[in-house]
Amino acid sequence: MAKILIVEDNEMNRDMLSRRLARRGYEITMAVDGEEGIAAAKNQTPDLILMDMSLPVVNGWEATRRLKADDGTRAIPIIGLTAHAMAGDREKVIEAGCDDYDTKPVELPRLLKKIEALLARAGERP
Amino acid sequence: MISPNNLLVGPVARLPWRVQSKLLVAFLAIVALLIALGAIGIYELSAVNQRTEELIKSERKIAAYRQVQHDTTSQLYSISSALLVSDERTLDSALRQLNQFGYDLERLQFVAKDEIKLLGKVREEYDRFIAVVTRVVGLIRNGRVEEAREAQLKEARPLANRLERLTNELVNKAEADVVAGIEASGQAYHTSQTIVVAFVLGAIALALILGRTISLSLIGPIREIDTRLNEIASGDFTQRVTVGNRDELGALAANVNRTSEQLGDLYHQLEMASEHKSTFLASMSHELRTPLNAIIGYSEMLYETAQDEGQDEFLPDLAKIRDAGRHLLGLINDILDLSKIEAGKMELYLEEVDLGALVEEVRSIVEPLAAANANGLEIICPAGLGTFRTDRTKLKQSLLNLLSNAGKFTHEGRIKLEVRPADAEISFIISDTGIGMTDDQQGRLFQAFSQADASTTRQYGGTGLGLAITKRFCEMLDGNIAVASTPGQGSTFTITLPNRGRVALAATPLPEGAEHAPLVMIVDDDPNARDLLATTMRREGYRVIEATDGATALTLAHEWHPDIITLDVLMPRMDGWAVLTALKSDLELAETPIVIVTVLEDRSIAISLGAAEFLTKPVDRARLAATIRQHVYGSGVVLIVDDEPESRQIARRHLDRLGWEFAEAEDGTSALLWLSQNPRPAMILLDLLMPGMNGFAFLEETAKRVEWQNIPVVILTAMPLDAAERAILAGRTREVIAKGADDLAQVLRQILVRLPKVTELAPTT
Repeated sequence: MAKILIVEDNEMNRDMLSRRLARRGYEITMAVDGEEGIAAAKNQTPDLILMDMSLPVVNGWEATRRLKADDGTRAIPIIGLTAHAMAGDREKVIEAGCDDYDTKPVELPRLLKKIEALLARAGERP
Repeated sequence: MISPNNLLVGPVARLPWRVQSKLLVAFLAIVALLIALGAIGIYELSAVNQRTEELIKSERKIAAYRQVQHDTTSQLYSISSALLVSDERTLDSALRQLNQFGYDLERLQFVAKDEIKLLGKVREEYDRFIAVVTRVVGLIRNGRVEEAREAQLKEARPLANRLERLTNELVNKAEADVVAGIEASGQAYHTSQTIVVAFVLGAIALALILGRTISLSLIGPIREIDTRLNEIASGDFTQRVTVGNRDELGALAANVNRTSEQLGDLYHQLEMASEHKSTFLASMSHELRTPLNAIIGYSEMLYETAQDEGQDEFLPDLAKIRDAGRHLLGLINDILDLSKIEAGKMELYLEEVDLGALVEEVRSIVEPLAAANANGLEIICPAGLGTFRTDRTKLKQSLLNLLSNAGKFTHEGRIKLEVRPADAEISFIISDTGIGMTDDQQGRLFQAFSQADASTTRQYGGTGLGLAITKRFCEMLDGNIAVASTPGQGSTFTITLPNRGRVALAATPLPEGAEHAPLVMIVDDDPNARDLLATTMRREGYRVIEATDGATALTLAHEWHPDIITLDVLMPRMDGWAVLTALKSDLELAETPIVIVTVLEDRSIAISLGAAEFLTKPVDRARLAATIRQHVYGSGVVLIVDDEPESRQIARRHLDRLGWEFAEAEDGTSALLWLSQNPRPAMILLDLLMPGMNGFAFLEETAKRVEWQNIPVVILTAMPLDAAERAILAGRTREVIAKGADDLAQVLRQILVRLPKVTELAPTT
């Protein structure tokens, strides 16, 4: 099953998201800030990253930019997560390099659809 | 512009008098001028009067002089008579005339007192004349006629001549006086006319200048105060009114300045308070949301766990926690939105928004909401709208707010979203058949925290903020929102946004309707006729493209390759016959069936030119639909081979609706039997898993007979196929449809459209 990296500083969010995704059979790995997230993306080669955009140390925007600038990690799809949708958040998140975007609190069925779609697309790629 | 007028305004404004006093002074000045004018008039009039009197006096003098002359002549005449007829009566009359003469001379002395010298001479001559006449009369009476004649000739006549000369002199003088008097009075008239005109002009000018000066000195400050008040109203408290006036207006200006300052202070304080409130709300919202995330997330997890482990008794309670959490989150999000809008921190993010995609997104979210209250959802959105520039998130949120409201307040009714694009504006009309609102409720509708009726919050839920936010969003997008509603009948909300940066409705019309539906092109110059045909066609499930004239029709036909064309004949420029001829002579389009729809009766021309059908207007819709159906989907017999009666029934129903006939067989053996006994069918709809001869075996059998090899076969199966099976089928069948697919009708339509028309292929049927 696919491996998902969750980069999220809030412990409860991390806990919930990891357990709910794990229950659906995904292999979960976690990071608590942007820097750790970048390191984890390089070392553990996840199939997909869920990136909270407001992170300590290195924020999600910067972490996404760095991951998408790196040949080693560019191919990993990233879903950006922000709090309550602000005007232009979706656009800014996509601009930062994320492949998709969702808001917190996550609606799991919706997020799962996005995860599945991105994984399927990544799988099709040669 | 500086004029003497304006030069006066400043000083007048600065006069420390009350406005009333200024007006009074101006009024008095004008009155004084008029009084002076009156006095001069009276003076002039009296001068005229005096001159007239003098003229009359001169006339009297002339009359008196003339009388004297007349008297002299009469006297001479009566003396001459007396000389001829010297009777007593004639003499008496001559003497009486002397008396009359005396009397006239007295009168002369009275009217012409100023001519003393000449009158003295006249008197002397008169006295002498009297003396001579008296003597002549005496001589006549004494019979000394000769002497009398002598005296008459030598004394009286010269005297009379002198008298006449004198009086003539007097007359001349008096006449000269008259002429001089008339001249003088003419001059005096001119002078007084000039004076009067000058005074009148002066008075008018003074009135104008004073009036204008005073009114400018009043209006200027009033205007300035007005401008300031407008600035204050728009929130600018920094400016001051500066007027030179030291009257009531000066006091008013000072008052306005003071009030403005106080308002400015208050406004500043309010702004600070509002900002604090917004910051507080924003941070509170954030702080509230974090634990709420946990509440919602963990309750969802618990719900899922309970579901997985079969602990169903916990599910309702867990759902309540989760739903309450979500509701609270919605409320917090709305409050945050509203506080941001009010703090002016809500930013616009304008982008090119694909309207069609947005509407589809909205539909997918609203469908379950509508279904929750058993409402039907209808979305009317012309295809091919393209993009327009707006804030996608805000527009979407506005539409969702209105649609979810509509769903909330409507039960077992209809909810409709209509997108109506125009050149300058795009309207989004959201209507429902729900509980509606009274006028009073509509008035409070867009205020924050105010649902139309406080009790509705309890009954229907919701935060009461959605409409307030929607209204603010629409305003931010330079649009507006309007509502119309009747209690008990439903409500209609209309959002109108400027159609910014969007190309006007696509220059080339785009087909409307479901993506894979067959395409009908309607060619007619009459919009009503087009509309009627298009509506009928859409209702029948076709895509429609419209052309308003022959040339457009040809262009669009090349671009879109419609499945069928309806063609009007009577059109300006290029008529239907020309279009028909052009289409039929075009290799690419020659095969496209063309249905002539016209008021004409020329069926034979139409058929000879290659039209597929000929319908006369007004068209019978059912007939039109049947004709189009026949030509698009063809017609003929489909052999349904399936052992399940339900599957056959479903297939039958779809075929029937498209005007196809069908035959049924429940296995391969009976299907082969049917084929051998009947004309060739247009298509075979084949199940794979059947008792007896199954689908694969049946296919093998049909391959053995030449006349059956080419019958199109469509597989309809519930069986999962492996690669080998697929390979077998691929060579022999047109399509494999999974049983239970919801778009069976759609797929069947597509297959039938592509099927060679039975009429062309199998004339035997």
